[in-house]
Amino acid sequence: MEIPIMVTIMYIVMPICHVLLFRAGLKYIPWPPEQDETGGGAG
Amino acid sequence: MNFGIIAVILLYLAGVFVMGIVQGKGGGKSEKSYFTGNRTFGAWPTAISAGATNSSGWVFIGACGWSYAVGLYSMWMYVGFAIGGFVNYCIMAPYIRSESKKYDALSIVDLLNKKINAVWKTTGHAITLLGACILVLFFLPYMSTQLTSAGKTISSIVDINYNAALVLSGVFVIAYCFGGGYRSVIYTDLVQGLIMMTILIIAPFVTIFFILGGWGEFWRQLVAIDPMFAQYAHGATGKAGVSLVIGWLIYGLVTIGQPQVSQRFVTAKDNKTLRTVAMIGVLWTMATMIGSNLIGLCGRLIMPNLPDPEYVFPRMVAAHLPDAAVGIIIAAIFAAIMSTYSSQLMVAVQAVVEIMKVVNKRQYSNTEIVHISRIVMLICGALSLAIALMKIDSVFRLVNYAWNGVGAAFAPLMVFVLFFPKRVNPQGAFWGMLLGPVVSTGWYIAGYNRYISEIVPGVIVACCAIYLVSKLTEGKYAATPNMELMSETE
Repeated sequence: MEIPIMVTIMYIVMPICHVLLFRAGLKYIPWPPEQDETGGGAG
Repeated sequence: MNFGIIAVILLYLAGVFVMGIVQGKGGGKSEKSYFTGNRTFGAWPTAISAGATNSSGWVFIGACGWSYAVGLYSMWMYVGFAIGGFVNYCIMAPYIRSESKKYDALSIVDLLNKKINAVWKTTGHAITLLGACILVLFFLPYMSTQLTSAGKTISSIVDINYNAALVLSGVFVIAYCFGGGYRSVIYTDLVQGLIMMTILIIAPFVTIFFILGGWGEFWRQLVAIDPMFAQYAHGATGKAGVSLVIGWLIYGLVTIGQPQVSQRFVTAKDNKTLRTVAMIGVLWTMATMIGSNLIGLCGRLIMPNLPDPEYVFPRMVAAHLPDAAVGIIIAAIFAAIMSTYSSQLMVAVQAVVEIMKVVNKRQYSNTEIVHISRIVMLICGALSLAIALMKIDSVFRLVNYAWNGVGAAFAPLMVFVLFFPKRVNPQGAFWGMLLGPVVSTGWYIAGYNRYISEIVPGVIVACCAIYLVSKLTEGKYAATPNMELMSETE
């Protein structure tokens, strides 16, 4: 008997999408500049 | 019970105890170092501690039990946590860190109050008070579920009464938390989280490939028991299926409103650290969600007729593994329980200290803060133990309830305060923070959560309340929003 298709999607495709989503997020979403100790923007 | 098992567990507990005390040494020199460890934590402690705090004994007890009952459908939690994690790690985390540093905030509640006051040029403490009360109110039952998990684990392995197991676990965990501050919590979380992750990867792998005959055979047997195990919505179709799925997606999304997790971003060293934290967080979510799902399903094949599904992992371990492995796995379950319990206790203690500062209208010296914190720790610990002794039937349900209540209070408000500060004034923030958990809890008590999870109405009402009340009361504030402060995010 074949393994149901949903099982393959859930356990293989989802983790791959998960990693790709984070990699894209970290690459393209802008982050605020680092704050220095006095609270001003360090750029 | 074999002495080998007891020896391994005791050795582990002693190790964690000593580590907590050594790491906590000097942690109480100031309020800042006691509650934030001076914001010096690197990527691994931050990421694993955030994950371990988020996942808790719930992963080994509640989540495994739920997968045992519903099969593949429980993987929607993974989708929810993946999306929630994305928003939390890639969007929220850098702003939480930079804003908390800018306003010198020691906690999430502190940050919300200080930023709203700065933007609207006010000096109130209502947000701090309400936020702290909500945290204490929801965290006590949340903490009690950790003790229930410990009680269920011990009583299923050792031949002692469930209540006695609960009290023993409670006394140990509270004593362990008593030892040190935030620094000891973070570093013991790191060790314990790594043990949890290893077990969650190895346990299902070994069971499926070496005991159950491989991946294909595993699913063939499961579908033979009940085809529902391989269905993505557990038999629900149409609107019912969609509402179940939406409920789980929002459940994962409100990770952003869990202060015990967001606190890890407050204390991370720098932005570079947070980028590494995000990728470690992906691995963590994968291991916990897929691992607990597969463990529950393996349990369904190995022990098909358990009266309480939440006993599945400890029972399976006790019945099929050698003593040393049983000891290590029980230690891992304890690790999960202790890491979450200690983090929640720290957040609850910090909340009570905030309440005391506002009510008594005074600042406390560093020594006083540490002493007060320890007394509050004992009281909160004893209360959570008392709730656990009231026989909680399902860890999974109670964790959901507390998670949703805290999420409805904090998630919408944090998004507004960090990204749309012009749209939220002190009154809007207060009503949003109050109505979110009230609606979520009311929905749960009324039993409507069988149609859609209580978190959905909770979040919707909180967002509407924040926006509408802020709009209606705009004129009451003499000062317009401080545009200089807002220009960075809006």
